[in-house]
Amino acid sequence: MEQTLLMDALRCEQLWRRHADRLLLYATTVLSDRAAAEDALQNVFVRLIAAPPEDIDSEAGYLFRAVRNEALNSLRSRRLAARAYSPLFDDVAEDPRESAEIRERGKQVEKVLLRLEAEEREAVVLKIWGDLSMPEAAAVAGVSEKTFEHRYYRGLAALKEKLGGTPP
Amino acid sequence: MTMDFEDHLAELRPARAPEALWDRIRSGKPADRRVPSLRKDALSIAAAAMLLVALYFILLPSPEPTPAALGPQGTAEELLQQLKGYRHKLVTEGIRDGHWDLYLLSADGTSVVNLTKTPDIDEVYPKVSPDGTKIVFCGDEGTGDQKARNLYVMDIDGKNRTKIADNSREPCWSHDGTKVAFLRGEFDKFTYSDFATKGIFTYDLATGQTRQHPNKKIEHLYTLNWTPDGKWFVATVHGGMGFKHGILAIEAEGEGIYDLKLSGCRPDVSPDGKQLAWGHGDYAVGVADLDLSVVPPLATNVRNIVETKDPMETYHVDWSPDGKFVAFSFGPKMKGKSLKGLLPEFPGVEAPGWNCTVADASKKNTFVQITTDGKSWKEPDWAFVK
Repeated sequence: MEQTLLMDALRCEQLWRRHADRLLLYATTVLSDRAAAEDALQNVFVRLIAAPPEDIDSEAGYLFRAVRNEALNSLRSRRLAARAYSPLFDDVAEDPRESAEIRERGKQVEKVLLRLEAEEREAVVLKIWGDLSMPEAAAVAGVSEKTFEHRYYRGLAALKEKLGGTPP
Repeated sequence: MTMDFEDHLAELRPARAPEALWDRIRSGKPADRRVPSLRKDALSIAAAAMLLVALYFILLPSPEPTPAALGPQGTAEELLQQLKGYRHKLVTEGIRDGHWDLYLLSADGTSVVNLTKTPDIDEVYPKVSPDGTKIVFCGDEGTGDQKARNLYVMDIDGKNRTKIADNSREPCWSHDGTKVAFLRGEFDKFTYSDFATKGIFTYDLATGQTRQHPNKKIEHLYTLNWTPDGKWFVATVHGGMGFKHGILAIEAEGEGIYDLKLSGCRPDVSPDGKQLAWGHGDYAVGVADLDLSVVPPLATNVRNIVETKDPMETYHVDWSPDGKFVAFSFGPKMKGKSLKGLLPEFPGVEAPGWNCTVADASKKNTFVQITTDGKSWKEPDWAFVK
C-alpha cells in the first residue's frame, strides 16, 4: 500500500513538474487572481494524489479540465477580491539585457491579454501557452472545435490590434 | 493571422509555479478558503459601515416571507470533509474510450470502480435499489437499425446481470425493492430523446411478470419516480396528455394525473416521500415540500439549494438515503455546437466537462464536484450502504 502511494505521489510530482507553470498561468487568467489560482492548483493536485484516476487519455487535457472546473467552482463559491497579478510570464534570460526586454514584452502582452473577453482570453492561453491542440483545447473549454477556433482567432486578432499590430 | 505573431507570443514562457506551492500540495491539505479582506484604510471602513447601515434598512422592513430555513452557506472544503466520512456511495454513468460504463464511487469521489466493463454495451441511467443491493439500468446495444435501449438488473458489484425489458428506459424502484417501474420506448427505432416514451410498466423481480399501468394513454414521460407509499408516480412530461412541459403526479393504480406546477424537469422524490428535488431550470436545483396525502398532491415551499450561472448547468438531482445531501450532474452548456436534437443531459449523450457533484441539502450553494476529469459523469444515484 505504501509503495502504491509513493508511486502515485511520484507520478503526481512528474505531472506537476511538466505542467504546473502553464496550468498556473491558465488558472490566473481565468480567476484574475494569482493567489486563488494557486489555491485551485493545490486543490486539484491534492485530490489527484488522494485519488489518482484509473486512466488518462491526455495528461494535459485532463489537468487543464480539472483546473478549469476548480477555478469555476472557486469563482462561483466565493467573491474574489481584485488582486495584483504576479507576472504571468517568466522574465529570466541568460543575458540581463535580454531579461529586461523579455520582461517588457511580457508586461505588454499581459496587460492586453487581461483586457480580452474572457472566452477569447481562455482560448488564446490554452492554445499558445497551454500548448494544447485545437481539439484538446476545445474539449477543455467545453465547446466545439469550430467555436473554439472562432474564439481563438478573434482573441489573437484583438491581441494583435491592441499591441499596435506588431509582434510583441 | 501570421504564424510569426503566434510564435512570438509563444516565446514568452509562463512564470514558474512556486516551489512552496508544491510543498503545500505534498502536505495533502486542500487550500484554505480565502476570504477577501477589507483594506484597513479609513475609506474602506467607512464604506463598509455605510453598506451595513444600508443593508440594515433594506432587510429589516422586508415583508417577504422566508420560503425555507436554509442554513448559511458552507464551504466546498468543509463539505468534502463531511463526504469523506459518509458511508453511502454513488453509482454514475461515465464515458471512457468512447464507451459508457457504470461506476461505483465513494461519496467524496474516491475509490472509483468500473462495474460493467462491457465494450459492446453502453450502460447508462443507473438506479440503485433502496436497500443498496441491486442496480437497474439502461443498456444501449447493437448498431444501426438494430440499436436498442434495453433494461437490465444486476447486483451492486456488477454481477448477475439479467435483462428485464426490451426497448425501455427511465426505470425506478418500488420502495420495497421487489419491483421496477419503467417507460416503454415510443418507437422501434433507437433514439436518445429521453421523453420518447409510451406507457408505464412494472416488472416484478420475483415472478418476472410485466404489467402495464391502467392508464394506457400515458406518453412522453421521463425521469420516472415511484413514491415510497407506492401510490404515486412522479415524472416529467414533455408534450403529452395535454401538458406542454411539467412535473406530474400520476396515480399508480388509477387514471388521475396532476400537474405539480413546478417549472423545470427531472424530479427526484426524497426517500421519506416528503420532499421533491428537481432541475429548476438549467442552472438551479430546486427543492419543494411534497404532500402526497391530498388530491391533487401539492408541492409547496419552493427554494433553490443550488444556483449556478450560465454556462454551468445542473441536472439529474438525486437524494441521498438519509436526505442530507443531493448528488447532481454539473457541467457546461454545449453552446454553438450542432446538437442535432441531442442534449448533454440526455442519457448516453456525451457531455464534455460534466462532473458528478454533491450538495448539502440543508444549505444554499454549498456543493463540491467529486469528479474532476469531466468525462461525462452524469445521472448519479446514491447507493445505500449498511
